[in-house]
Amino acid sequence: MSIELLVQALLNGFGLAMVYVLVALGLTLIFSILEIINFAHGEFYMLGGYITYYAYALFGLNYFATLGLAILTVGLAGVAAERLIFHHLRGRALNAFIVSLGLLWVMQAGAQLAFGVLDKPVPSAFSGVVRVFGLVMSVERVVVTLSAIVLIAALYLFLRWSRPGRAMRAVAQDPDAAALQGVNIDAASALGFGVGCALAGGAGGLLAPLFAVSPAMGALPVVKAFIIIIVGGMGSLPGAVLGGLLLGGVEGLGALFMGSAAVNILGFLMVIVVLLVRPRGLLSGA
Amino acid sequence: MMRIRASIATIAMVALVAAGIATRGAAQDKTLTIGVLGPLSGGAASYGVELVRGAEMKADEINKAGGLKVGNDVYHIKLVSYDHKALAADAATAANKLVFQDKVKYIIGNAVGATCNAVQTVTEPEKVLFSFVCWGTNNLGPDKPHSFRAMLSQWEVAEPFYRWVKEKHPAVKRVALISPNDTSGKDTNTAVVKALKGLAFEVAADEYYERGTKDFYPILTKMLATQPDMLDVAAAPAGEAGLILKQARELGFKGAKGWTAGTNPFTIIGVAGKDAAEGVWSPTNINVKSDFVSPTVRRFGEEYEKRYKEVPGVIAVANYAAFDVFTKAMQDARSLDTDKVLAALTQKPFDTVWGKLVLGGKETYGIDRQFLYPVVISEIRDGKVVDIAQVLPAALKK
Amino acid sequence: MLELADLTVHYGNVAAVDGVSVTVHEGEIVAIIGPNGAGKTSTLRALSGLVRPSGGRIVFRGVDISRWRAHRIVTLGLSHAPEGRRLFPQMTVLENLRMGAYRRRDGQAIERTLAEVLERFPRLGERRRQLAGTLSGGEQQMLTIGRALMSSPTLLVLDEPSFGLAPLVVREIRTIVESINRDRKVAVLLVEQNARMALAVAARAYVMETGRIVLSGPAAALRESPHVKAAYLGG
Ligand SMILES: Nc1ncnc2c1ncn2[C@@H]1O[C@H](COP(=O)(O)OP(=O)(O)OP(=O)(O)O)[C@@H](O)[C@H]1O
Ligand SMILES: [Mg+2]
Repeated sequence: MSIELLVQALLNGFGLAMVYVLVALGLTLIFSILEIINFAHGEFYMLGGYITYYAYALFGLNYFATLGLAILTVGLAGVAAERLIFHHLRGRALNAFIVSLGLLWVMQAGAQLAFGVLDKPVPSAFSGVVRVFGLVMSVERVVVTLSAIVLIAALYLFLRWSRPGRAMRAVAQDPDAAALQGVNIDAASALGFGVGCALAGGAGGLLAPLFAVSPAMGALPVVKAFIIIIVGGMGSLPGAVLGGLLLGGVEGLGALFMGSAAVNILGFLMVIVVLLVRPRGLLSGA
Repeated sequence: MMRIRASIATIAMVALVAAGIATRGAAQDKTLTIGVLGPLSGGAASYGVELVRGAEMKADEINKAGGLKVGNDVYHIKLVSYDHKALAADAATAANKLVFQDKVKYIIGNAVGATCNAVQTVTEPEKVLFSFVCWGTNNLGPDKPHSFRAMLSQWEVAEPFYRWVKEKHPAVKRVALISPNDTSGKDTNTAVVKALKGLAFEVAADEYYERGTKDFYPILTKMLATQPDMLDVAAAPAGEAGLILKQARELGFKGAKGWTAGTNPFTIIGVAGKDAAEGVWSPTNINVKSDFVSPTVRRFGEEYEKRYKEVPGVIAVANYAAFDVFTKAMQDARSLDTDKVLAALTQKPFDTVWGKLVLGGKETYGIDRQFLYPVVISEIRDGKVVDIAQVLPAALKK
Repeated sequence: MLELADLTVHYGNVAAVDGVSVTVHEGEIVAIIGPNGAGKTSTLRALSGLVRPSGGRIVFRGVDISRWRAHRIVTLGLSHAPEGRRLFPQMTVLENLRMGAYRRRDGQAIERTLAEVLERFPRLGERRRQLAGTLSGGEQQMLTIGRALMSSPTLLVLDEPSFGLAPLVVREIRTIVESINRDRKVAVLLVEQNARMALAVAARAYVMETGRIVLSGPAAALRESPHVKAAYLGG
């Protein structure tokens, strides 16, 4: 087995990991602020995919403009979901959990009615491949990965330096104390849910041209996102990035050595190992 | 909050009721209810959708012509279809509903490996005639006399297909295979490997992936490292096959491409893109627009496209033909009794959209329950599906 | 400037605060003392909008804020340093302080307040980049008070600032409270179980037991009350 093949396998694994990190960051952001595990998260990802299909593949809007549109629209959908549904369930984690499962069902069934059950292909926005030292990656994947990194960085800066970002972090750490400093908890929660969903929508938009879109497309990224969160640590941005890289690396190498059917098990094995060794994840914290 | 929850529930109820009404339609004095099962949602939804559409086309044809005349009675055909999401447990539930609640004696249409076995646990003891397009040798056998495969499987197709490859494209020596990691995938690869070995090809890779996989870079990297001349996306459904071909091209694969158990080459073009789909050979498919098909098939294709805005794939055609064969057998038997219809089915060839069709397969399965008909090999050229050869399954030659 | 009139707070059917009336005048230090579970914290939470009172009125600087939510009440100049410090543990000292000024938009004035606070609490300045969760108990209490000052309040509400601190640190806190009141004319409503300290700094005080005010008056007079002596000053 050549070194080249090994590096290519790692590269394959890392290739899309950052997109799943986006999905994971959305989930963990929502959890930190609202203490809700949003099981419908993948459906917001799916929504981002369909917006890309309609705006970019059918309507012919520019790829990056479409991505912006997907992020914005899905973000607004998230705000709406929080205001109309989850807002009324604050502090009742079990109810919120059940309702989010219901929302998953409603959104998937709705997508089936509205968009049809069949996969809808989205043409590649970029053609060609990048070849360096015998390693291959399509330009499309390079663009997608870079876009995901830009979005992660933007999220970091937003949370770190912007006023609403600080408000969200404060609510995540202590909602009462945040309210006493003048943070409007309702607004911060709605915004947090919206930003979390927007990240999922962006991820869906990024992967749509690679994978085609379908009503059930949200299941896979959410499973990966959960693995990433558990490995990296709930609520930790660097943890999510680390979790994503680990999952990508393990999957890439696993496919090479064990065949891709065994790869799915590796992700869960990693979760079990981390839970045994560091139950709160590798880098838990805010 | 209560109000919101109530309204969501209301919308859902209305949608379900509306869907129920839509599939029912008006009743005549005598009704023959026929069941259709399939994945109508999820990754394999295209199979189920084509099954239902093929059934709808034939049932409507019969109903419009005044119903199905069996002996002295005329029956209006009513379809009842359930979604099993490609899950065996759901398939068993749906089959129970069809047989015990809807009192169905014929289930014409089902797809995806393990769901067929699940349905058979209900249909065989109840002597319900069950026709499907699932792959897998274990779906047919002397212990399952009421089960039929309405579409050629790899066991009939792989050998004539690769014989053709060997004759026409002698440069192809090493073939890499990839299929989903389940019974139908394993069965397909097994059949193809058997054909390849029999024809003295080399098997460069024999791989499986989990259904629902979207990123094939990891597995393709491993496969392409074996330097195959041809990549066969064997039992992959259209969406996943398209992704595999697209990503293989990105990783630099330039060899020949095949799709032994391919169903609808039109859909693969959309997902893979014109360039990556270029040159794909697929032997099980039918191109309703080609020179090899009869005027009836071409008419069927036009009608279908008008109605559903899509070109019918092989599964739609297969289920349309299966409906044709079963209803003709009922007429021959002058009865709806499944024993009598079973006898009529195995007696003589049928004239169908496929051309001449017989029930055979005893060499492979130990019982003649496999529909046999001529195979068309097509190639994707410049974003279009072009038929380039017709071959006969070994058993049909006799 | 603050008037609680006949305030009641219920948790479910249980009344934690049962008809409490308290007044604080401009620039005054007022204490509420009482045993565990008396309803002191509940009174303060109602005052700053964290729980909705079930009855009575809260008037602050002429505005009835009984139904206001917490984030609006700060903007009127009422700042609440809650029981148990309630810092943002994953933020640095500086970030915690800046959160205190969340409602203010006047950048330069905020910097001035920040400088003042850091001058008043030099320890916080030394540890400005440290995460709040890693501070010592005394430092955390100072940060809580510092954060509350960042909104530039006219009424500072402190809930048990001496809790869990060594006597030396309690004295330090006491000095700080007095100096804040003196230098900036900030009125202080101080809730304490440490009655000795509270009655030493406050001008007036209230004694609260099982949800009601049972005694009130000038701190000096309460220090001499037999009930207070027996129950709160250790005989
Ligand atoms: N969120 C709540 N839900 C139910 N009961 C509560 C809640 N908060 C406080 N209580 C009850 O209300 C009563 C008053 O509590 P509160 O915290 O106001 O007392 P306190 O005077 O501040 O006591 P301490 O000196 O121990 O802080 C107590 O009996 C307490 O158990
Ligand atoms: Mg208290």
